[in-house]
Order: sequence, then C-alpha cells, then structure tokens
Amino acid sequence: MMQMINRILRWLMQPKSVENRMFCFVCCGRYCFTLFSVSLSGLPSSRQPSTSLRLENHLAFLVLMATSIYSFFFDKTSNGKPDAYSLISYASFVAIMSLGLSRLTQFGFEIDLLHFFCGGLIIQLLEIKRWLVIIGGCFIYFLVVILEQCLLALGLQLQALNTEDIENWIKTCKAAGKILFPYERRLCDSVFSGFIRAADVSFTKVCKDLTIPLLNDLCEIRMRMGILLQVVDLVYRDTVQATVAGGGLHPITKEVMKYILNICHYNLNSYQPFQIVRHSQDDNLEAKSRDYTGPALGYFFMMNNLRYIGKKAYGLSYKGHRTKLDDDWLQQNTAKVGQNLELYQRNSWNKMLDFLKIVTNE
Amino acid sequence: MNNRRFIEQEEKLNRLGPIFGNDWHKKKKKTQQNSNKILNSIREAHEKIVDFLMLDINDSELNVAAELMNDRLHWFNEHFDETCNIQLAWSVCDEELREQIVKSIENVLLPAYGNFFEKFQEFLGKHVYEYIKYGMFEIQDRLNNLFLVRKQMSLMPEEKESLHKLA
Repeated sequence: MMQMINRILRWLMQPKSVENRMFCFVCCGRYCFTLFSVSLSGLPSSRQPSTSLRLENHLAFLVLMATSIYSFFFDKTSNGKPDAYSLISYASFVAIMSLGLSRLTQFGFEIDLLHFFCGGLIIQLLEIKRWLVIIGGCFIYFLVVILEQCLLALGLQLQALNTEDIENWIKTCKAAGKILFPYERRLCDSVFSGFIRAADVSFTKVCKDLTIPLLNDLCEIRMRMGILLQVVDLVYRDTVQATVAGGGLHPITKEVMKYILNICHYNLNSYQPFQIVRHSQDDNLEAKSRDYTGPALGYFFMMNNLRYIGKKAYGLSYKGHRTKLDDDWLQQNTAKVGQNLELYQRNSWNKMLDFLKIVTNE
Repeated sequence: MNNRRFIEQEEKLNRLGPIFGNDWHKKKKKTQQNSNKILNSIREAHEKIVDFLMLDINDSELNVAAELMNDRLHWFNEHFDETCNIQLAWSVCDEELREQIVKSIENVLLPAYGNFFEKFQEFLGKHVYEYIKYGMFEIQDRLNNLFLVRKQMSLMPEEKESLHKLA
C-alpha cells in the first residue's frame, strides 16, 4: 500500500503538462457535479431518497465520462503511450476506493478520489485503443452501482437513527416494551435460573464438604459452651407463662429436657452440664410452684414436672449414661416427688379427715 | 320405819330389853319383816327410776351423737365435692404418678370414711342410708376419675417425638 502510494505521488509530481491538465479537468467536472447535487438537494422533500441518490450517481458518471473524453481529444499533442503498470495502478486504486466506500467510512473525500482515478483509467484506455473506452465505461458503471448501494444503506441507517421521527420512536418503544423486554426477561430467567440451580447444588456441596470436618472438630466445644449457656439462660431468664393450667407440664421443663437430651447425645462422657442444668431447672420449678394461688396446686405442679424430669433422666441412665451421681439424683428426685405428694395431700384431702376424726376421737 | 329403827338401836345401847318385854320383841320381828318389804318396794321403784333415767340418757346421747355426726358428714360431703370439682381440671402427665397420687389419697380417705360409716351405723341402725350421700365405692370411683389427661392430648405427639429421638 505505502509503496503504491509513494509511486503514485512520484508519478503525480512529474512535470508533465498532460497529467496536470487532466487533473484540472477532473476537478472541474467534480465541481460541476457538486453544484448539480446541491441543486438537487434543494428540491422539495417529496422525492424519494433512493431515486435522488440514483440520479446523482448517474449524472456523476456522465460528467466523468464527458470530461475524460474531452481531455483526451484536447490533448492530442501527447506522444508517449501509457505503460501497463500505470494502467494497473489506476484500476487497483479505483478498486480500493470503492472498497473503502463499501465499508461505510465517514471520510468526505473518497468519492472525489474515486472519480479522479476513474477518469485517469478511461484516459489511459483511450490512449491505447479507442474501442477500450467501452470496457472502462462498464467497469466504472459497476463501481457507481456499488457506490449507490452503499450510500443507500448509509442513508437508510441515518434515517432510522433520526430522533425527530417521533412516530417511529413510539413504534420502537412499543415494540421494545411488548416484545423485546418480555423476551429478554424470559431469556434471563431461563439462563440465570439454571445457573442458580447449579450454584445451589455446588454451594450446598461445598458447604457440606467444608463444614462437616469443621463441625466435627468444634462439635464438643459448641455443644458444651453454646447449648449449655443457652439452656441456663433459658431457665434463668424465663419470663413466659408463670403458671400452667391444671398444674401440668411447664413448657420450660420440656424445652430444657430437650436440650439436656441433645447434650447427652453428643457428649457421652460429660455429665457436668447435665448436673448444672438439672439443678438450675429444679430451682426454677421451685420458684414457679409458688406462683399458684393455692399451695396444693403448687405442690401438684412440682410433682408433675419432677416426675417428668426424673423419667427422662432415668431413660438416659437406662441408655448407658448411668453413674453414681445419676443414682443419687434419681433418688433425690423420687424423694422430692413423695414430699410434694404428702404436702399436696395435707393441703387438700387431709382437711376432710378432720370432720371424720373428731367424731371418732369422741 | 325410821322411828322403829331408832327405838331398836336405843334398846340395844341402853339394855332396855327387859323393860319392853316379849310383846315388844314379837312386834319387832313383824316390823322388821315389814321393813324388808318396804325396802324392796323402794328399791324396785328406784330401779325403775334409774332405768327411766338411763333410757333418757341413752336417747339423749343418741340424738346428740347422731346430730353431730350428721353435721360432720355434711361438711365432709361439701368439701369432698368442692375438692373433686376443682381438681378434676388438674392433670398428671405421667400415668404411673397419677395412680400413685390416687392410691395415696384412697389409702388415707377410705379407711377414715369407712370407720366413720360404721360408727354412724351403730347409732342409726337401718336408717343410716338415709343420711349417707356417698357409699365407699362411689368415693372410690370419684377419686379414680381425677387427674386424667384430656385437654392436653396435643402433648402426646411431642412426647412421642422425644421418645423417638431418645430411641
């Protein structure tokens, strides 16, 4: 490319009057063509853009041919014949210009250069033999048609991009709103939903693989510290439902026993949390039994809850967690149930015996 | 009788036998027999009076005792009804504990009630059933129906879950 350009420049710089004159003629022809185009564009806008563009191209072609032929006959004083190399240069350069236009470049001088090299090509052909002008004319005509197609496409695109066309804009918005966006949403949903599922599966697997060893390592510590503190806090911070209807099981009793079962399930060799929790629970129940209006119901409540705890603890002992501490605690639990039974009976049923005993004593 | 006895004593003390003579002695024997008759009469009358008094005492005592027992039975029934009605709403989640409680109440209450019933029957005889509201079996039935778990059936599934976890 650079070699060709340099050669063309050196060729143009030659002090030949023939080439200089030809160049001037081509420029004059182009100037006339430009004036004609301006006059055409001044016409009313009712004309079709494609028709106007086609007319411009054909007129340009005629002007080019006329100016080239005129310059040839006017310059009869020329003696030298053109060589094959210059002919090929003109043709290739014309081809390059047309290709440049076909790429829809935004430069403003491609057309002028195209016309210049077309004129040069025709002159060269005429100098060889006069009947070759037909071939040159056909060649240039085909180039003009290509140019027309390119300019037509460019024009349509520009018209499509015209923001002043409100109607087209509204239509475009409607189409986008009704067709494009829903389709896009469906597309995103289908794509990302699949991705999300895959993410879920991989995420779950990664979490499992990473957390299982971690949990195994921290299981004992977590169970002892976390659950134990949670249970003790639950028992002592207990502010819910002071009394239970009918002196039945207190919700805290069931909740605490669940925690205890969990602790014993994970800590087969640890009884300390169990003891702490059970004693704190006993204290809490003792306090709660005093919330009942009658002492009999309070003792009744204690019997219910103590027996529930004792049964659960005995179950744990039966499952293989038995120690002397458990035996002692179970005995104390049984004794406590008996005490509360006696107190309950003394506060409710034994009062009736007074009516039966007085007469008996007499 | 009093006067004859006085004369007799004076005669013995002062050795006045010879003065009164045999007639006096004969009369004395007769009067002594009469005295015995009179004493027997008096004793019979007294015994009748005593019997009468005893009967009165027994009747009075019977009435008083019966009334006292009836009052106490009334108050017992009142308290028994009230206690059963109140504690009918209570519930024991552990069936073994429930049986333990009921049996403990029965062991104290039924013997006392039975003893009371026997004493009451001694005073009233056949009429005792007119005053008794509850028989022994009725007392026992009412106690056996206490503390049943009815309103908290929803707890059972939780306990089953707990046992399932344990097992």
